[in-house]
Amino acid sequence: MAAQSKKISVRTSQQGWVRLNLYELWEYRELLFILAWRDISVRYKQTFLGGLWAIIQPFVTMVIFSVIFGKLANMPSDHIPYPLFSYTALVPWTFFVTALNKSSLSLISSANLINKVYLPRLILPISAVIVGTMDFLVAFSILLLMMLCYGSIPTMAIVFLPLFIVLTLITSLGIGIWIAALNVKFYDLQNALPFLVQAWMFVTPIAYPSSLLDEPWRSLYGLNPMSGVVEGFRWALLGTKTAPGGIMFVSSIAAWIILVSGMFYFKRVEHSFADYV
Amino acid sequence: MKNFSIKAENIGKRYQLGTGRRYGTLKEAISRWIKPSQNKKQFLSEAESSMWALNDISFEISQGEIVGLVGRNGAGKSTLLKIIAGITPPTCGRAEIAGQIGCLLEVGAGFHPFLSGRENIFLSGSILGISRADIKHKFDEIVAFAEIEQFIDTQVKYYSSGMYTRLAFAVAAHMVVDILIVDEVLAVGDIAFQKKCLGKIDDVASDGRTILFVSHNMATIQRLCNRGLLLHHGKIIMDANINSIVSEYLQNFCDTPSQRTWQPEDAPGDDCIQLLSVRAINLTEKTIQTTDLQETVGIEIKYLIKKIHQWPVVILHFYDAQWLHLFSSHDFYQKQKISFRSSSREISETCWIHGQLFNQGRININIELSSLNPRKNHVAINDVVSFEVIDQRSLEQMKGPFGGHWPGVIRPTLKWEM
Repeated sequence: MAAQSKKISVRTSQQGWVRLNLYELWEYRELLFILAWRDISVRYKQTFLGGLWAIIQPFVTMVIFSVIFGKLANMPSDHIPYPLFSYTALVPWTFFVTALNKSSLSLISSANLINKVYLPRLILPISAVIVGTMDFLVAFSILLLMMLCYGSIPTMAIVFLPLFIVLTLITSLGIGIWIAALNVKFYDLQNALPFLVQAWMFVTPIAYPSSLLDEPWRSLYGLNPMSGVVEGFRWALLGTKTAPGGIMFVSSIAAWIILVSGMFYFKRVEHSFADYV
Repeated sequence: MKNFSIKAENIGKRYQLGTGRRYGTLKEAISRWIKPSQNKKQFLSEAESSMWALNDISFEISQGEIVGLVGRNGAGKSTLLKIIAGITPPTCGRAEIAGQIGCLLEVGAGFHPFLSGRENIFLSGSILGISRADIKHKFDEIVAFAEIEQFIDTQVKYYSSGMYTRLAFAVAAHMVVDILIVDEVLAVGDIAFQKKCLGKIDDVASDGRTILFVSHNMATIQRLCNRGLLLHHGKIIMDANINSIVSEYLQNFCDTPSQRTWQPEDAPGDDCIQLLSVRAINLTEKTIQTTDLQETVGIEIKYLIKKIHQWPVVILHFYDAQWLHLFSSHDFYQKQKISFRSSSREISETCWIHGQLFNQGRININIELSSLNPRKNHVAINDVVSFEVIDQRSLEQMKGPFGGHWPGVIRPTLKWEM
């Protein structure tokens, strides 16, 4: 017999911080996308309105905001028609909220996978976040339509849009992974989540512009990475005057910190999932 | 020196018992932060309320071995499989696994009812770690194995449970891994399909791959495996060839023994009758745990009659492993022929079941002792004894035409004429 040629894997007790093992995640990329595809195709098959839900939620919110904040409260909107102003923010925001809700349940709803099959569990919240991209694309196409209707022509800043989409993804993944892991251990987080989302919405410049704040407070505001995302979307698509450089910088750093710390925390508690869910 | 496939060293797994830990609440976590003193106290009580599901497990399995894991419910079999599969880490000790591992702890893990059979094949394939390209390559083979060609584009929620499990197993059966872990999944599907699955596992085995197998069906384990590990209360108490393991298990660890004896003080019954012992015996009146399906089996019952003025009737109910009622038998007519003498004494009687009647598997027995006039139940014990019927012939000619399980709840030999 030749020397041991097979790859050896070791099972041993896991305590404390462990390495992320991103390579393994990469090896499981196929499963990641198949799980995401499963949830997308089930959603579009199963629900009567299918993809329409992706539009209804941000669109109705936009209409309500336009009436209350735009008309009644006369909220400033950086000289942009208020419906366009708020909808541009609601598109990434809705993606973020969907990602949060889906990933918070991702581990608990896949209990049978966690208990019966080995897979890097990180792919469960990640695929939950990816599921939302489909809705995001649908809602985004409506945004393009609205821009057309309002005759809003994007400036050169639109080339930076992909960056802000990536920032949205990083933020959603980061928070999603944190919440997914915490939700296994602390089940009552489930009850706190709607409240958390609501509060978060008000500290994000969706209904109002962040230009209401002066520097340096405005940049500090970027500690909430969703404000960087929202202001970035507006700047890239609608050409708001104030290039939100400071906000963006702070938000990007905050988003990365949340994502990386989330992944480390997730890995740290991952070993207990099969025993808890 | 053969290469190892699985090497386990002093594996232990501790679980917390009781409530409160399974789902922690924020309140608990916060109070643990605020009051560290309470934390300490809680830690102590946690240590007390834990149990070791596995303790000091060490073994080595070489490449190509087919090992059966045997033990009662709760002995730690599934936990051990989960640790080896990487689903949950051990609390202490370590295991080394050489090569890719595939686990079949549940058929149809990840199946989604709203997706078609075709979509589910890809989905469940990737969950089991088969690459998309491999699934594409083997797609037709999988569909043919599952025998669901016409329904491949139907949503799985419209499948019968048989179709569902066939498809699920078919995907799993086409995993190409170095080590296959199988937990009780063969208990699904009809007999013909079970046979097909066993055949598939035979193929896997003859490819020189390692298989770790858990089942409560001793006949299957005996047929498939060549080595066994006997687990009891989280420890390996025996590591030997499969035949010794199976007979040790049936003799000493099986849930219901083949012999039950009571002392007069605590014997079940009333002031009329008390049951003293029940046991399964062979023709030489030796207690048996297993019997070949060709052999005659006796159920010997000993009881004490006290204040009673007529023969009590003894009734035995026979059930198979799934507690399907096979038949019942009583001694009323035989006892009519013997005159009754009213005095306190011990009675022994035996019910003989001729060979070539039971099918393979576990036979469970309920017993009743009653008087008829007036009708009164003196003793009724469910699952009083049980024994295992095995098919020695098919063990010898494993791949012969009658290998595996012969369908039917009983297996009488009938007369054929030409």
